[in-house]
Amino acid sequence: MSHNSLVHRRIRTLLIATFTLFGLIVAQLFSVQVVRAGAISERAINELLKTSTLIAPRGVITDVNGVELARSVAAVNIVVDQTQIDNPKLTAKITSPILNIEEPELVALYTGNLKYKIIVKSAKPAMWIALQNGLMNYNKDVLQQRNGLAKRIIGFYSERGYVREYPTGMLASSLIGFINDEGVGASGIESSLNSELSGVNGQYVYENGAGTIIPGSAKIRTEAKAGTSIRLTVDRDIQWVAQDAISRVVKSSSAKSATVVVMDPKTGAIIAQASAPTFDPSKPITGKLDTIRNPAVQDVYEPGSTGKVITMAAALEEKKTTPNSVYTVPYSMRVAGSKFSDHEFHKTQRLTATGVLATSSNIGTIKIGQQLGSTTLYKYLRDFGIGENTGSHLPGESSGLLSPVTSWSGTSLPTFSFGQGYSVTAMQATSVFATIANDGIRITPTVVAGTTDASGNFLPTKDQKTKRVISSENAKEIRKMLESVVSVNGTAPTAAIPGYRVAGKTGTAMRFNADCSCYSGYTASFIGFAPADKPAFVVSVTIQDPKGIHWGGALGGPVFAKVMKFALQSAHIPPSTTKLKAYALKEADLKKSEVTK
Amino acid sequence: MTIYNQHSRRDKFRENFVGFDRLLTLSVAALLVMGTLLVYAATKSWFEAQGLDPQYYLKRHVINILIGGLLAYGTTLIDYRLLRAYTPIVWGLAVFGLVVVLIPGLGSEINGAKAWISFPGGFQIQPAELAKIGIIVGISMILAEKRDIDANPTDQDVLKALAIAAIPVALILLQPDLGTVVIISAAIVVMIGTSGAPTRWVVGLLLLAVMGGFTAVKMGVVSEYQIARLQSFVDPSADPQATGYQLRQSRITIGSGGITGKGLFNGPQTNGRFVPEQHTDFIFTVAGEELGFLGSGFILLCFGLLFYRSFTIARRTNDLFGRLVCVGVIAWLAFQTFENIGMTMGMVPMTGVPLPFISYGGSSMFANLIGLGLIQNVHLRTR
Repeated sequence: MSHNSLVHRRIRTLLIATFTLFGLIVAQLFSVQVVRAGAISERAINELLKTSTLIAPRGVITDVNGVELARSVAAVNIVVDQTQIDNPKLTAKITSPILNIEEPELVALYTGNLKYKIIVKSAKPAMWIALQNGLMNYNKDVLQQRNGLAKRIIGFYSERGYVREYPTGMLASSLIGFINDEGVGASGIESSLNSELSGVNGQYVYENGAGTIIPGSAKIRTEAKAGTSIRLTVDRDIQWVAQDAISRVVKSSSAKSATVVVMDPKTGAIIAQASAPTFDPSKPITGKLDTIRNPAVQDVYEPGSTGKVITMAAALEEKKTTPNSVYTVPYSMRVAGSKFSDHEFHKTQRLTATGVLATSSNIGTIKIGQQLGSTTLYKYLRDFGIGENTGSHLPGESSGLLSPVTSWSGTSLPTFSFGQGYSVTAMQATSVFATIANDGIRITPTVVAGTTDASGNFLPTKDQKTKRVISSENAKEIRKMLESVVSVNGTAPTAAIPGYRVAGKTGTAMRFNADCSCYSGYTASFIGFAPADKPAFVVSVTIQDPKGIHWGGALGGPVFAKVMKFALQSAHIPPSTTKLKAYALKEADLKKSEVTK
Repeated sequence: MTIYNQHSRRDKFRENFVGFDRLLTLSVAALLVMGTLLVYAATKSWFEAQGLDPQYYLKRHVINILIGGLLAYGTTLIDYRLLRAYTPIVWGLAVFGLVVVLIPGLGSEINGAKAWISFPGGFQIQPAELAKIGIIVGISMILAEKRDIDANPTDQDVLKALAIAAIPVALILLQPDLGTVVIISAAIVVMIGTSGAPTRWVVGLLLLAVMGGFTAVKMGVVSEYQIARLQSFVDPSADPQATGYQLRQSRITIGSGGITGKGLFNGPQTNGRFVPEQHTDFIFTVAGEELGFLGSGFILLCFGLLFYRSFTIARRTNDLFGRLVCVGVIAWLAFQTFENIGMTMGMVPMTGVPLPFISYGGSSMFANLIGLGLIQNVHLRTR
């Protein structure tokens, strides 16, 4: 075969071989793009579309005037895909000053095979923007270099979220509570109203590129629904005064804890509720978990003398006594084999019922209790809400302890008469006095004034449940009797507020200590209301286990006066114009006409 | 005199241009236009997202084409038969570049291969691309030397040609750049076959190439990176995040284009940068996704025309040297095209070779256009 024909044959072979290869490519292309296109496209879409959560902002908690006590502020989680970080050391060096994390720590965070690793939780959006800018500038420079595309630093993402801020700090922390790491309310209002505050998370889909959201591809599938905002009945300013006063008294008396409740007796609204010691909700909770409790509803104690009010109210309502009824009161007496005595020695006295209350005589109260009998006293204790949750909806609220009358012993009636043997929460004790201040009608306490949904509609809280316990006349009588307590001859002259008529009752109860199952220390309390003739506020002060002076009048009275005075002034309540026509305390002071027994 | 000279130069230019094979020029021009659009599509949205100049690669690509076009034109000016005299210089330069790239500090390593020489100012060249020309011209010279028009090359000629090729091929293997070695080997076998060398050589060399590839993998001449790519070809799901990932994504991207494609600049897979190296080695996936079967078919049609016309030129010439150069360039470009497109669809193992006239990359673009210039040169001088 000649050279030429050989060459031409070979070129022809080559031509055929070349176009055979091209035929194969065209066939494969047809198969991939036409025959199997549908299935392959679907896979592409699955690969592409990612779904992510759109976190709903939590509702705001405000005071009664709209001052923010807890709010959610936009924040981002900065996340990396470790598999996309080629050079952890270099990446750490560049990002360290922006993230404020030491380089070695960042190197550890960047190294590994995790597609999702949180680097900074709840960062300020500004940090994320600074990080993006920093990386963008770096990448811009590096792209000028050979193979710059491969040297870029990629793999950083942000997740939108929120952080909870408590602008007033520790001010009402035991009431408001805090949220845990997962954003769920862990105590206080944050916990009890968690489902309202939480809102509903939304969803968005985006097209996922090599490690980033493809610009413009994010679409919101379901909008996040912001949580309902809660307006509390609490007034920040009164709360501040209450918090300040209670913190000081805990410090000066070295008490274990103390709590103040300020209530509007007509509506049941809690105007302030402060406790000490307390915690800062914006910082992680460390140490004893005791501080996150809300002692006003979670701690129970035997009320002592403040409980005498119930005995007296019951006796008036049952017409067993009058403010001027006279009792023979020895220092001590024996009932059912046990000896009972007054807190201070005195010769046998002839006291009016008012005098019994004003001097807080145990013996006098026992005698009035005996007039009532166990069943009747038990009925009134129940009616005043003892042994029953107040319904304030504060988390962990205790019902207190009241044993049923069927299990009472011989000493129960005298003991229960003067407020020992059963236990209450500060909220329950406040409610008893609020009932008297509210003309005998008990009203369920509440801290929520209303809610504002995501669209801004305010929905006030429904009127609270009410229950008449004693008649309005008898409530008035008790109020007048309680005014004597604050008089010079009473147990709490320290609670007086110049210009206003103040009524109240001290309590200095033996404190049951769960640690030793014995009585040790005291609960010092003062609960009262003002103005006594037309009560605007009830304030209760409860101090647990003070060292040194432990009299309710001495410790609780000044706190009461300070808080009440501020509350009256900020509510523009005018000073009392009427004067108390005080009942006589002793038989000797009674005028002839007033002697009833 | 001056006027005459100017006139003659312009005349010569026009004569040259008109003398080009028009279909060949047109098909390459179409490929260059397609390539420009695809490089832009592959990089635009990503650079935009990064806050960079979205036309960064577009501009550089156009500059590469312009320089390459000038080089191609320059190649056609001198009669290729005179070019033979410069063959040893071209070959020597190719070997020199391949040696320099292996010297630490001068060559830069990317993906485990020392394939680039960097110059200050961000300018780099890839000597292996330009070495292809040196080898093709070198072998053509040896096989076409001093022979009667009707004589076939002897065993001695073939051995000499192989020796000429062996040095640069060995140097490229040292980088290692397996893809280029395979392409050059294909060109060598085709040229030896076309020269009229005994059939035993053609068959023997083909067998040798297959065995050589097998041994290279076994003996570890091929880097681990290359082996991983070969393994992922056999079983793409074995390592879906690394090398198999590339293949899987590449196939998905092409497939999602369907018949008409997603539209230029509108490919979500492309814009999401699922496929790595999309403006260079995997550029065909952009065509697949955004232009669909019609668009990528058009590219194949252009390549088909290019090769068909080149074969015609190779057949028509009576000069063995010109014919061998043509066939060498065709074999190189055709095999590289097949290797590149075949790789994106999982038909052949993955190797890092660019798609001729389409992919971004200066050295490759220059070499391709010089190759085109050589074919046009042969065509011009075939009367």
